Amino acid sequence: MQNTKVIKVLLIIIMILIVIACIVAYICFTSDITIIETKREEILFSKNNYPRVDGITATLPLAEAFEANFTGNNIDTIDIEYSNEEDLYTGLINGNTDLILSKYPSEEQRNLVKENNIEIEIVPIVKEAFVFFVNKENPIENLTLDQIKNIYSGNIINWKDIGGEDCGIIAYQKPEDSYSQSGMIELVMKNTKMMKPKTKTISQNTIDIIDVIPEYNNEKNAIGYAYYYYATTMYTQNTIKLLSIDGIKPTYENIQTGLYNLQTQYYAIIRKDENENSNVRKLLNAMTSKIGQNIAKEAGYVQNY
Amino acid sequence: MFKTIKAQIIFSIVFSVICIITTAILIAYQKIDIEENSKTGEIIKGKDVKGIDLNGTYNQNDLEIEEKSVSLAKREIRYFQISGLKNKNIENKINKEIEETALNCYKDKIKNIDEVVNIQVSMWEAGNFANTISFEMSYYAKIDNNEDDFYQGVLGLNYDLNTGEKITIDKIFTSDTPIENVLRNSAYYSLIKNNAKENLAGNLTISDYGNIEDRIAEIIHKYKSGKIKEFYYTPKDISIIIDDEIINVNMEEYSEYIAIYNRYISEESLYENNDIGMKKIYTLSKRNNNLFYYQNYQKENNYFVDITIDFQSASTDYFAKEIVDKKIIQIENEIEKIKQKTLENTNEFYVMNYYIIIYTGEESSLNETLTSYHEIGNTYEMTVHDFEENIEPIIIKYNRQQEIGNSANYIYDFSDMLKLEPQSVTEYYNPNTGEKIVL
Repeated sequence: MQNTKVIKVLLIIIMILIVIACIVAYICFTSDITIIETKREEILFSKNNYPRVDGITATLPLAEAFEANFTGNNIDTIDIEYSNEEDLYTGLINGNTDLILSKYPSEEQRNLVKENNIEIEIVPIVKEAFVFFVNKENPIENLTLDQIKNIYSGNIINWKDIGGEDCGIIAYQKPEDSYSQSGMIELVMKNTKMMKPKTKTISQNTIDIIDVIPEYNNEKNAIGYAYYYYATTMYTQNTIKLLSIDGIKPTYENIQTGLYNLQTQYYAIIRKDENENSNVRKLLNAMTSKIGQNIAKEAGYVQNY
Repeated sequence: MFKTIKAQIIFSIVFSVICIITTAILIAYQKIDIEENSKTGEIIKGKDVKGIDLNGTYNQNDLEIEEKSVSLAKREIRYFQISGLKNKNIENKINKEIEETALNCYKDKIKNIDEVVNIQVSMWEAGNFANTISFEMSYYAKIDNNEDDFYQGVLGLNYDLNTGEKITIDKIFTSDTPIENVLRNSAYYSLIKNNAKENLAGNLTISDYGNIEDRIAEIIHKYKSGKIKEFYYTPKDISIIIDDEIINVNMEEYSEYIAIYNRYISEESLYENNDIGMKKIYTLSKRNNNLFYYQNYQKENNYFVDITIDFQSASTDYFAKEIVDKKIIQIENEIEKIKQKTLENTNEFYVMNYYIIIYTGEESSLNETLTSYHEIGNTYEMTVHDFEENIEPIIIKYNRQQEIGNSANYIYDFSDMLKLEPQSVTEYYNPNTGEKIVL
């Protein structure tokens, strides 16, 4: 009789434990899997000794994420103000900037530092790809690079010619001199001449009107382009679809492995004469470390290492 | 139920297995969901509040808004105070916050008052409808007497009148808004307009065209990091203030995603009186109810009245005032007659639409002071169906086209539909004798 009671109590305890274990397992496995995986930080600096970082706008969220994580501050309190792109290297030359986060320096920029007898060190930090996108309702999934060139040189003007529906292609372009337009010319069109972009007339006030290159408006027959980081942060993701190019989808993994090859990188640029133990080198090493790369990924960039 | 130990053990095992399998299924299902969401980059949300009804109307709040002025050393500060809310705690809270903001808004930029010649703070009522209120507050401070050197700033004060809490920018939009697309497009055209300048040939050109993409990326990044705090809204658009630049979001373009017309509507009135604000104004249009001496705007099932009397003469202009008062009585009698008629025939619809301007001043051709009376408008009769199908769209379009701040005459032209034009009458009187003058 006594034994039976003990067994009964034991069974009830076991069942209660199993229920608790199931609840705990459910919470652990579902609630914040991504947070557990990605939330890593290493406090290396105080706000006062954090190196002065400058760069191009496309890297601003990256710079803020690094500073927040490496100083242990909340990202909401970080407000970095970049200088104009043309002044980037002046800051490095005259000592007002310690580290630049930017695309590969142009010949003009490299000459500028050379003229000032300064050597620079260029270290890739994250990968960046150039992507094309359409409305998510557009049946097209893939285009070849040649088809893209033909669309943007004006030779293909209807989706049916490349396996889509019978409707005209609205091929959006970007303003001349913009970062994405330069990328389009350098990485995609190369020696092929782009067609003249269509313009839209807008009124500044009731009297003055101006013709502008229209912004991508995601019509069902539209196509647009941007760098991967811009495309995934400036466009509402469930409204657009990134296209495969030559059969390769611009996924995070394909960009990281280099399979998707319309790509470039963002670099950290420092003065070569920076001391081995300087805070600048410490930051540079942190950016390329596993923790730094995880921070970059969390901020929406493609890891390089 | 389970009398034997064996049965109890079997039950425990079956129970445990069911628990484990259920948990495993739930985890697997949840993981798939998380992965799907992380692939699209966002959590898919439904619409929490309706967007704007393009054929609908809204009510202005029954609030009194009074301007206060404070003069301090080197500072001229003008700000609004509201009254008319049933809940005085909420009213006081809002007024206190407005006052404190007006007195301190420039202090972030101007640390020391000796830096400047003077500071002016002023406010503008941007939106006052649907149980919300939105003000634009701005300051301007001359650094020296050179007009090129100054500090300036703009901020927004937006309140939910149900609670007295500030409205954050995300509450302006419905939860399913493709916010990046809305901000990107709005920022693009706003930045172009803000930066367009006339060249020597007199044509508009855009400077910094190449940087626009970067600026937009910065704006969206700031929005996502919760760093956009300053904005105000009218019934037509939202003005987002970012680094001294204003990004304009056109509500009509994104009407399905604008929640501010509906989010704070309450079943019970929040106001002590219910006849201060204008009622049933067409959405996406803004009407000022305090610009004119007399304004009668009514939209009902069988009649639409839109009558304005513009009369700004001196208080000693007794003759003109007599004309105006008589006219008002006449108008109100006419409206009563229309109401009676519609009671008799519910299929009939009447539009009574007039703009009257009365002014006493010197008539240059006669070199004499005259009172002029100018009336334009008409009363139209039609079926309810004709009003809804043909006439109302014209009224809506006209109201929406009016620029905010302009004192429009609100005279509608239905001549294409009704073959009847607004009639115009102009009369002149000698204000001293009341004699009619023929010019």
